[in-house]
Amino acid sequence: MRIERELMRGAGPLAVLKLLERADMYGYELVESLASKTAGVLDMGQSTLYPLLYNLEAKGLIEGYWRQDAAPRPRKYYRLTGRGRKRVRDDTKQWRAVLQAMAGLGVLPEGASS
Amino acid sequence: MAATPWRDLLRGRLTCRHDTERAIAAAALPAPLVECIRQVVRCTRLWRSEKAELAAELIAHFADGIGAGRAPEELLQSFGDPRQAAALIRRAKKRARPWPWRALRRGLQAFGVLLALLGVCYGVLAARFYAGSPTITHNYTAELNAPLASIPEDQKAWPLYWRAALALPHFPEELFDVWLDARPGERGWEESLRYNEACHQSLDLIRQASRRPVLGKPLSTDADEELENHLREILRPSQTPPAPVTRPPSPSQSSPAAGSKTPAGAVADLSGGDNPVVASVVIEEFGLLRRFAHHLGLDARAAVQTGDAARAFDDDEAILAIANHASQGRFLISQACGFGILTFGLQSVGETLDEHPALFSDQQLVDLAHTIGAWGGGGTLANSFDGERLMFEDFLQRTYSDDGHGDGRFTPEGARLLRALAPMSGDPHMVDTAAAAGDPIDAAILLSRAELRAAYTRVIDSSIAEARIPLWQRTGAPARQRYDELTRSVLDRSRYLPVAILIPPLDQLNVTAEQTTQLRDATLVVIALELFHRRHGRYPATLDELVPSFLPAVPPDRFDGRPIRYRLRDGRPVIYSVGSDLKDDGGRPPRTSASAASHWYPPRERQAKAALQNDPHPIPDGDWVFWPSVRYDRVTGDLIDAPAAPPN
Repeated sequence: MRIERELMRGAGPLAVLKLLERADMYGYELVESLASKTAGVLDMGQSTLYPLLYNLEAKGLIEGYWRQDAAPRPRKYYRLTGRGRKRVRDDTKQWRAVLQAMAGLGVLPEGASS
Repeated sequence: MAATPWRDLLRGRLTCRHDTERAIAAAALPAPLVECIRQVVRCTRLWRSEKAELAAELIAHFADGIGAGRAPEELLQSFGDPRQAAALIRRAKKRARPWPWRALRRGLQAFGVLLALLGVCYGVLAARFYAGSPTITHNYTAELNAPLASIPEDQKAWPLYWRAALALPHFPEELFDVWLDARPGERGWEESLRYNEACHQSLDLIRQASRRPVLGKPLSTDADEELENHLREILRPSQTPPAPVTRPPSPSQSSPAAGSKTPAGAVADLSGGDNPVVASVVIEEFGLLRRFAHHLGLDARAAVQTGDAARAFDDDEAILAIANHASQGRFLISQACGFGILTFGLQSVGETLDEHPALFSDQQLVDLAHTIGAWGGGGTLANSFDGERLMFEDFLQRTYSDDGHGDGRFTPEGARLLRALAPMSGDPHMVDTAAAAGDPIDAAILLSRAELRAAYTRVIDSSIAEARIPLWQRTGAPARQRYDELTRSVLDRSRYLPVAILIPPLDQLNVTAEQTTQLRDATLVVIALELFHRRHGRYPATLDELVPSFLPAVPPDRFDGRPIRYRLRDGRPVIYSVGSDLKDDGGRPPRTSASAASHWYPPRERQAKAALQNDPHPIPDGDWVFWPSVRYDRVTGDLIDAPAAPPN
């Protein structure tokens, strides 16, 4: 299912930040995780992902660093900053409020937002 | 070296860490992926270091995909459009750049927007400026000359003055510095007389001309070459010729007739044509008239020496008539010249009565009194601004467009005319400002036609109002203040530029009229005293005795408003004003000619000078003495022929 661009623009950053809340990740790993953990709903092309990552980096919500572990070449990992964690909390609250409102309108089944 | 970060270079290492091409080639990825990375990196147009990091990240990304068993085509498809990716990446990366760079970029963007806005504004102003053109509806020069058409030729003095000028013989150079003020027994007197005798033909013509009622010289922008060449011939180079008040530039094309539209791009013609610019008319007669008056003054002095009362009387009457001719002009310069010649004539009469009081007959004295008293109708002499106003209206019609309601915009033709007239102001700053006035921005700064006329009228009206206040009641120089307000700042000078250029010099205008009035009144008192003395064998104890038989009223001292000062010293009268210092010094003139006691100081300036410890130009200490004549040594400036000290 393809998500409208405007909706994706709101959900994409929070999805990336939420993934990074659990562990540091590199680009390809984020792409794969988004696709697998959202059943392909939030699967975004890399032409969208990397600009999204750089925007989050410019806002100071995440920071990148190079690391060479088992891979044959170094990868750029991203991790959440303090400001990024706060953003995740705030955005999560807002999404919950939206979902509750949607449930109230019957867009979502009652209890789906809890 | 270009691919090595400057930090590495400083450490002496050539790392080439920013060599993107080398990194991509070393990645050993399938060709389509390599091309995709190359395209994205190239299209971002980022800094070299940013490109290197991006390339490394994309290489890692595709390598991970290959490592995960994905086909290159699949990876390319899931990556999306490289160009779109490059554009988004470029935008995001630039947001992450250091704040000084972003501030500079924002500043440049703002500057660019500002430049663009200014460009648009300039375009609008330029279109407005270059689209405007003046419409000339009046021929003011013809209007000013029209009254002359109905005057018979034998009533006009100018043709005789013109012949008199052409009959003048060569002027001896040795008389240059003594001729005007030569006195019997002094250096240059005999030589001056010989020269004057050689001018007898001219003198006869001048006397004839002075008896005609009207000067009758039409206004023109064409210089009289015959006259100019003759004067250049007879006068020594340093003095030649009596300069025209305005000089026309070389003509370029005929000026448009009344009612015509000036074609865009035409150069304003100042010098001729059917409708010349009034401000550029050549006023060459005033230098000549002054010169004629001096010839007559010298002849009167000689006549007095030989007891020839009729000749001295004729000469003095002729000088006063020449003054009248000069002041018939409609411009302020005509009146100023008239006042100057009148002053010279009054001094000539005063000197004669001082040195040879019995020379003139009673009737001659009465006639002189009537001639002198007619000036200003017996009241205060005043300047007329009629000609100046017409000149300004002529300027407006040639420089501004006309919206049909008295308003309009400054035009390119106006800018050219303004530049041509700017030297009239004698102020280099005005000339420079006028030189820039051809620009649409400067033209936009200039006042509109109606505003400019209003500003000009305000200054002129304030001068007229000032002239109605007697000198002793004046508290300042409002006309001068009005003018100064127009030129206070650089912006004001640009806005009011035409007014600043064309306004006449207002500094001494009204003061000169008052001073000339004072001299006229004093001379009438002197004549009345002489007539009284002849009838009663004594001088009156006070001037009130002269009224009404010899004088209609005792004139005021223009410096303090009280009656003009009179006292008897050694049996002879002294007539004077308290003068600049407003203090009655008993008829004692200042000791030197360095400062004239006739100079008037506005109250505020007087107070400021009084507060100064060492004023290099102090207010003259002494009275302005009209009679007996006061003279100063030509070289030293020291007082000679001083009246005796007043009795204590």
